Amino acid sequence: MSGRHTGELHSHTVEGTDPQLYVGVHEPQADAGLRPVLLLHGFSSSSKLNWEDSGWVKSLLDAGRRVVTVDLPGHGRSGAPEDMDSYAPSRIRADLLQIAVDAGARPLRDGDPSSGLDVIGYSLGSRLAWEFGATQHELIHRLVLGGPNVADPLAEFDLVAAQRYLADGTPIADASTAWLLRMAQGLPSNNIFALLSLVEAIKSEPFDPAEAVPHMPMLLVAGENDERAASLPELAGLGTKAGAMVEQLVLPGRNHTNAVTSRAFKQAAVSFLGV
Amino acid sequence: MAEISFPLPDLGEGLIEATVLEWLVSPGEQVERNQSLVEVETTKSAVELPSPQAGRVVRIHGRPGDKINVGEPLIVFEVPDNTAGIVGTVPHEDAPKRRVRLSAVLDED
Repeated sequence: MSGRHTGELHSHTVEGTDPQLYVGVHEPQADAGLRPVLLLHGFSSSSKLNWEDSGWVKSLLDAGRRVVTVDLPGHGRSGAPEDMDSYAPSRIRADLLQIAVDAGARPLRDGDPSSGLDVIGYSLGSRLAWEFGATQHELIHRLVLGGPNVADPLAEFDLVAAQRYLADGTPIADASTAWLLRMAQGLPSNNIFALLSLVEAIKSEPFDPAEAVPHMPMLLVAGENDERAASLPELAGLGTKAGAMVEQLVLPGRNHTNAVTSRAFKQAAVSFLGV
Repeated sequence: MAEISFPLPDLGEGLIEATVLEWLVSPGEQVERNQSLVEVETTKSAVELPSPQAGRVVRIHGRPGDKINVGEPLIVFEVPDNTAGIVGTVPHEDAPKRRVRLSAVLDED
């Protein structure tokens, strides 16, 4: 049921440095013959929390899909490089491309359902997936974006206040900064200083969904009680204007944290990507 | 037939309780080992709990929104008498092999 699974610290230099990202490749017992699915987790989460413990990997394997998971830098079992460049969203996208190709993804070819790559992102992972889709239209077949946003809450993060709090406990005035930091500190696997490097890198490359818009079909999903549900129509509008087929799904009663395990979310994603 | 009760397992990281989000099985249903039983949410994340046991579901505890403490009853299964005694005493890793054989027979049909 759980299929064969191999995981390793991905080692393939990109632009001269090793990103130290942990990649998991999960093989289904009965392969449906479709392209691999790349899963991108959210800020302060990990592939294990976002995709394995929540039942996503199992659902996709049961549907015969080959699954590739990547821990973002400073998260899960990935390394925590000291240089700021390793955390830049543009650099992470370059690393993801290398990882996808190394995992066997090939450019899309008409009439070949095993060609290309499907991508599912959650939260920060959806931002990366949106930009990845916009820049890699020859590779990416379809996108599923969970808990996406139109702006980047991390771009508003008060880095100075966070550093002061970590140094001597000075209370953080900004509620969003305090919440994000509390979330980041909640998990022992997080490297808090690496996470702050990621925030700093994101502030230097804030998300602007209108700057580059994916053209491939996409499914946008958010919990009804997630304030980001309000961003779905705006993202859908951008996608539609760019010529993409866009579907939206709001999960009743769910918020940004507990939408992740939703059975309706998984079923919609498996079916949307099962073509 | 015998009944086996399973408590909410230790979810790690010092968590002492979880909130039921949605049951994925109902009383009367036959479930496989490792089949997802229920979605629960902790203060850290949301997880799906896999079944530790194959059997028929007799009772489930907690409705969506209810909190359950670690160690409190979560689900009760009915299993054949001859398998009830060994649960929790013998580590069994042969279940996946059995599943493979089952599907091979189904294919021949």
